[in-house]
Amino acid sequence: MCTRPVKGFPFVGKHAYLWDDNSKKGCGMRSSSGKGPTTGGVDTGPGTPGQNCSRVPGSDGKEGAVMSCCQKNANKGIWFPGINDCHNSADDCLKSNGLAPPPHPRFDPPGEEPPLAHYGP
Amino acid sequence: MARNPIWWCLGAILLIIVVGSNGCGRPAVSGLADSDDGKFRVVITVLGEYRHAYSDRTRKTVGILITPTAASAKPILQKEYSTTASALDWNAVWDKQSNLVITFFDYGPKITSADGAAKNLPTNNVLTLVYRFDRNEGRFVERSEK
Repeated sequence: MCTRPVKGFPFVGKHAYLWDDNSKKGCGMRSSSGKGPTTGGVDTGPGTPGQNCSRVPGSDGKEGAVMSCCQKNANKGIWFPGINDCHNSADDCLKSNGLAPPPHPRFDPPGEEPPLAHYGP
Repeated sequence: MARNPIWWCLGAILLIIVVGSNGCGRPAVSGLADSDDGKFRVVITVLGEYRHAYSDRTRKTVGILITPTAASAKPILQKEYSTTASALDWNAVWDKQSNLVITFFDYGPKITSADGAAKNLPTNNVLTLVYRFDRNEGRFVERSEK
């Protein structure tokens, strides 16, 4: 699971998405103001600039099920920050597959290092 | 309480956020592939449609970004395309001359990429993008075919 800083007014905080190490592909929900796919920041997974990723314990072998859940459900409901946003949709797909989401705060605590550890390929 | 300017400010910020996001989100699938020599990276981002699952057959907006792999290097190529597909997936293949071919496909309506691949279902070719690397000018030239 990864986070990265959100870009573009009026959005603030961190965007969260799911990342599959095997396929090197990610999936998530984007709150979009109509910007293009690459202009509002890109989801590039672990070991790439600006991305903060953490392994999900016990997720080996469940990557396909989690990514399928995301492709079916990431966009369900009305987007609302903190209630139904990219963080919630990622959590839902992990939990529905019996996985515990790692911490992924919407904002970095002031003056502290990001809580998710970087890990590279 | 309603006259407290703080509440008015909070309400205005909330309104901006909700209106600015069109009130809902878009499903996004992304991925990357590095060239054989490790010099270049393509980042592919596909956005689905508002109020639809990514696996629905809807308009998909495809973003292509080719950058040097060196940190903080500026993009060499940035392109956007639009097509109609279900859960759009792709294979990105670099050759030894740093030419790039990206083949986009899906497995049909409501079928996710992972399910289609796991069941070895037949694929539908949706779009093929070809980028030839011009060594003399250090840029990528597009040759697309549908």
